[in-house]
Amino acid sequence: MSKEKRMFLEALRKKFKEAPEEKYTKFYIYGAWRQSKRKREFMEYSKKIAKQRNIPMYNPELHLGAPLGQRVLMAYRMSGTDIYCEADDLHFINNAAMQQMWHDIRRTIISGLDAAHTVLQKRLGKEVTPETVNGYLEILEHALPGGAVVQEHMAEINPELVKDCYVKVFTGDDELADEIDPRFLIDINKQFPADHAKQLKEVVGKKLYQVCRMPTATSMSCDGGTMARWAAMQISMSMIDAYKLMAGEAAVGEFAFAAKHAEVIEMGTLTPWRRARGPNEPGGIPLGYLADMCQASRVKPNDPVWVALEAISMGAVLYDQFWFGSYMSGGVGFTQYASCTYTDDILDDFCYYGADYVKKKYGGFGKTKPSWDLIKNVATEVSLYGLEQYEKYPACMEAHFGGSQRAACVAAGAGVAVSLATGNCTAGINGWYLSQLLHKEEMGRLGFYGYDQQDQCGSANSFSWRSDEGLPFNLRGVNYPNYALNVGHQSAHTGIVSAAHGGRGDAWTTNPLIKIAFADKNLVFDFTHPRLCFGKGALREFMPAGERTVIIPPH
Amino acid sequence: MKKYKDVVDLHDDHGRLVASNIPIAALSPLLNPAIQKIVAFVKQCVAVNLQGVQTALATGEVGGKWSMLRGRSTKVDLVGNAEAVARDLKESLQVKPKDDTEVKVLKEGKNLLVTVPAARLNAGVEYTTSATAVAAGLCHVIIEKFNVDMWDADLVHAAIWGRYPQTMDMLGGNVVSLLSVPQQNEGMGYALRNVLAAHIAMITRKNSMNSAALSSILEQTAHWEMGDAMGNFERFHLLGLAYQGLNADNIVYDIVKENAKTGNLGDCVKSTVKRAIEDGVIRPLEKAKSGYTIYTTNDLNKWNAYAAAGLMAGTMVTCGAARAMQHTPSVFIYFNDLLERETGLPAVDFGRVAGTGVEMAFFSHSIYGGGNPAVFNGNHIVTRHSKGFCIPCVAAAVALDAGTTIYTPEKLSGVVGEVLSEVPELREPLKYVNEAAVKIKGEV
Amino acid sequence: MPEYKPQYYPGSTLPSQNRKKYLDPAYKLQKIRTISDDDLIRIMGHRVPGEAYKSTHPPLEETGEPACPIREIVTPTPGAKAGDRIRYIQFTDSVYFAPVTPYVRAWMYHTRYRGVDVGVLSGRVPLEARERDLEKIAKELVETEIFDSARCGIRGATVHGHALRLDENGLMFDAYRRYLFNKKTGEVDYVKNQIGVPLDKPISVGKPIPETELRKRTSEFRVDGNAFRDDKELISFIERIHMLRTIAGFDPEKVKGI
Repeated sequence: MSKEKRMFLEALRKKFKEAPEEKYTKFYIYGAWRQSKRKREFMEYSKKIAKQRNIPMYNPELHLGAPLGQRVLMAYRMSGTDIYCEADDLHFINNAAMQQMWHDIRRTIISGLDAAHTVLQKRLGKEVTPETVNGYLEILEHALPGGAVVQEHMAEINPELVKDCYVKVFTGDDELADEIDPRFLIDINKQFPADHAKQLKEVVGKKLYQVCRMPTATSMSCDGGTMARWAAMQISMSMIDAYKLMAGEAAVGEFAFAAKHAEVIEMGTLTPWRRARGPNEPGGIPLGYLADMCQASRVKPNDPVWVALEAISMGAVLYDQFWFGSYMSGGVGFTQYASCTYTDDILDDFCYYGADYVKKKYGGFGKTKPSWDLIKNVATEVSLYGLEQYEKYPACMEAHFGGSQRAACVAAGAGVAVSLATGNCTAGINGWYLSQLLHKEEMGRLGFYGYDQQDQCGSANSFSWRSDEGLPFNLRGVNYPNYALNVGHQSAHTGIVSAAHGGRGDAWTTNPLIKIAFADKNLVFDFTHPRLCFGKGALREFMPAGERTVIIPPH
Repeated sequence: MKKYKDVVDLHDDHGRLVASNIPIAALSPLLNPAIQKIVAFVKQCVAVNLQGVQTALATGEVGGKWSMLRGRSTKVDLVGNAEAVARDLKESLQVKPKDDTEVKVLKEGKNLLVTVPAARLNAGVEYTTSATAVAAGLCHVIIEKFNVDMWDADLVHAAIWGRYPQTMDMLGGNVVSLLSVPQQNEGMGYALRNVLAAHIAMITRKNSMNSAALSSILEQTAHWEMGDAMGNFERFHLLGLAYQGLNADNIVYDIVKENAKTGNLGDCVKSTVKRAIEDGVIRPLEKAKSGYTIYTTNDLNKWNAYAAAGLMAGTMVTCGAARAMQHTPSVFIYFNDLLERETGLPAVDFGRVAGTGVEMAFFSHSIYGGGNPAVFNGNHIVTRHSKGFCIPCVAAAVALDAGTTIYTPEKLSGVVGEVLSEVPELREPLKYVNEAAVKIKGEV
Repeated sequence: MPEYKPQYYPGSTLPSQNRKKYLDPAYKLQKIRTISDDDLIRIMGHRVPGEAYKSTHPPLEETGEPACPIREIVTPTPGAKAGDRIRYIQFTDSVYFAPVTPYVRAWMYHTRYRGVDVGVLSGRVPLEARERDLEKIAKELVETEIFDSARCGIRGATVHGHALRLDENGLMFDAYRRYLFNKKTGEVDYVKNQIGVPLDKPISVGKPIPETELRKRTSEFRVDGNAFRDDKELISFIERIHMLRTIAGFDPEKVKGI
């Protein structure tokens, strides 16, 4: 038994019979896939399906040389929780919580109300008061999920199918907030710790924003590009109803323009031809936006490491599992490239080590400007620590059996630490790059075939100001050219952004409106505890939205 | 433009001296008339598959593979009347008599090489003008000349324009530009980068040195268009073009020759370092505990250019020895790894070539996309990451391949490469660029 | 100016020095076993011993070549000349003191051999070359000190195992069980070829190198062996490369005399 305290030791003891320091084990004796409850379940389903449809299906005996499971098929612990599951439970197709996280993001559109109110007041001479705003919002609660207003004889949507669809508003103006129907309000004072609330209200000021959540059913049937359009349709119809306008007078064109374009904040922007997707798809969501969607900072504002780890898990699921593992590729996908960052408390251990190191050496977070001394010192030390844990504990090395997994976790520790120290996430990512170069040299190996493309380019592109190279790290995402291809990075990258601002005590990393928009207890996914939520999904204890029970035969 | 002190000796594709002490600015895309002519030709020249148009009209197979419109057919002998078609097309395109419009009949009427007059391109801002003018001109000529009636006008359109405008490009069409439609470019300034290595190799008729030169000209010019060749980076790109693409000071050819019979990539690394030391570009800085010498430089841009030249030579030696293109990404990664470990200095493009090599190795050896090196280009998401220093090597390697792939350069390039190889400046760019540099050397 | 002498690799500790040695083509790799040409062909699995090489294009002399100054001077390898297919051999190296690591393989393949296409992943190193050239190279890769029968594997697919603990005989995991420990002889026998097809009869690749010896030959840094942390020269080297790349990306003119 190890005398040293490591966060991952408990999980490793559950995964393997032998002690984590043991170098030898047995193979080939586990009955292959039969050792796994999940895979036995898959086989049973498959046999039934093959019989029903008369087309064969899942059959792990078809492997090239021997079926999978010649080694122990490991259990996984959801980091930061007591939940254990199998790898299959973390595939996003098998996990309803992961799917719901993505739907909740995709179906969100923020749009400003002030421009619409100006149209009403200046162009049409209408009165806009908190009362009329509440009236409009009540109409929109009916219309947004597919209820008709103004028009006769319309086909409408069954509320049971779209019960997760609604609108809420927020403002930085306490007086106005007091007059808004509390059912429709995201109350900044109630949702955020005092200091964060102050920062957010200051920046939002007297402006009023509405957050529309389109139905999960729409997200499942259509795409991200639908969302702003859907919201704009129903916003405009609700305006017509609430303020008694002609249905289709010229002023309404200005609502449409405001709602679809001028006042809209989309979660994600378009991607180019070769990987073309519309707005509100993962390809267009910057790292800082995703970090802001994570609401862990409301729960533990003084533990920026924990917050970063929660943000990392969201990045892992969205960017690595959904985007790279499916949108850009598909099939069996990339689950374990992602799950290494949120399972078994391995990355947690590396990040807390880095945080402690920074506290000791630099007296706290966000206190020291970036410098070569700091980046070399912190990134090298945390990288060496991570690499040494894999070597000291063979079970840890085996848990992260792929080089890409180890590369992501070691560098994440380093990048998060530099971010914490400097409060500058572009410096943080530069620390990540140093870590990757050190790792390649130390182990004489790194990741998969293309893994380190961006890590070889990254040093030079960290502080470049040239056309498609320079950009603050917060605003980069999977459409930043170097990042468009490879799994196993963006998870940690989300955390590197989070850590820099969390360490500084910032209320948001990039977009305060997004931070507020996701502080919404009616969301189906729990953005305050993403890992716990993913764990519930793994245990099949998470109820998603968009179920079609009410329109399909009983089964 | 800044005044640069650098001068280089120009050499031809066989390593023979052409001229000495030419100022580096004479090779700049902003000043060298031959480079500007090459870029202009890339915009102005369009390939027409006249046989393809004829077949499409006769069969109703228009708008992309397996799109077959039953009951739609019109028979016109375009190939047999190619000269007449060419004359009428020229007349449609010409702005002024005796301007630079040209329509050349090739392959016994099967293909046309069309040079659209510069006046048309200068009248607007788009570079797609050549493709659209030729496509529209051809529609007009066919309908008028062959009395095609109104009920078949849509078929004529599809036989030429393909499925445009349902698609953003001319899917299945028979008018092809070297450039892609703007929507297919990854970002601002990427148009000249969006040229398959296959096209380059076919245009230069697989002369590896000219492939390197043409590709480097397009790639590096794009970096001026992107805004990357600005400030201290302008010299970075100028020297890169000169040394890697245009064989300045004969470094590429010398290193290849040194290692041509028995040398390997590692030997090319050593040759590069040796040459850089001899020419005073790098020097020892200090010795480490193990006796390892760390090198330094007072001119990192020049070091980069030397390293880039060595990379080109390494590609030619490795892929030349194997007569195979697939080795290219391995060269990109390991030339640079070895160079850095040999010197302690950053390698080509400061890590970006190594990174591009990593991605290209992956995407040319796995299930995830890409293909063989001939499909790559500077606009491709896999290979855009190096700022102009990878694709010229890819083009050189594709030219050296003896036929190891199924998607050959011939198949991938189709009509474009074959037709555009008729343009001397595109086929033998090194010769023309050198000549032009000599002409303007006194003025820059 | 002192004459330039290639140096290959920095670093002051044993693994660094071993890497330097393996990269230096002047260092002759020590032969520690003999595998017959035919047995190696069987393990590689691309042809049956005695079978003619398949071609991907006709010999160069038959087709002629395009006019190209580089073709005029660069000698094609024998395999290229003949038009051979490009085939592969792939190795996996355990993290437990294997003689070479994946990147060391790639670097040394390029310093020692001509016309090679090598790629690196954490768990496998594919080497592709014209078939007859490949067979020549493969002989050296399998017969010499850089291959340990227990800690290295010749495997074309399903390469999982480089990071796993060792089995009770000290062998690296192989999902396809291409090789087995022969308790009678103390040697490792290949019973399947590199893609997992069973061989007609086992092929011995000799006894595993004892770990005490592996620790002397390895190019792997390990905290329970030679720790990377102790090679301050190598760490400082990498930090330098990173720093210079970063500064150069900002402004190449700022890298002067450092």
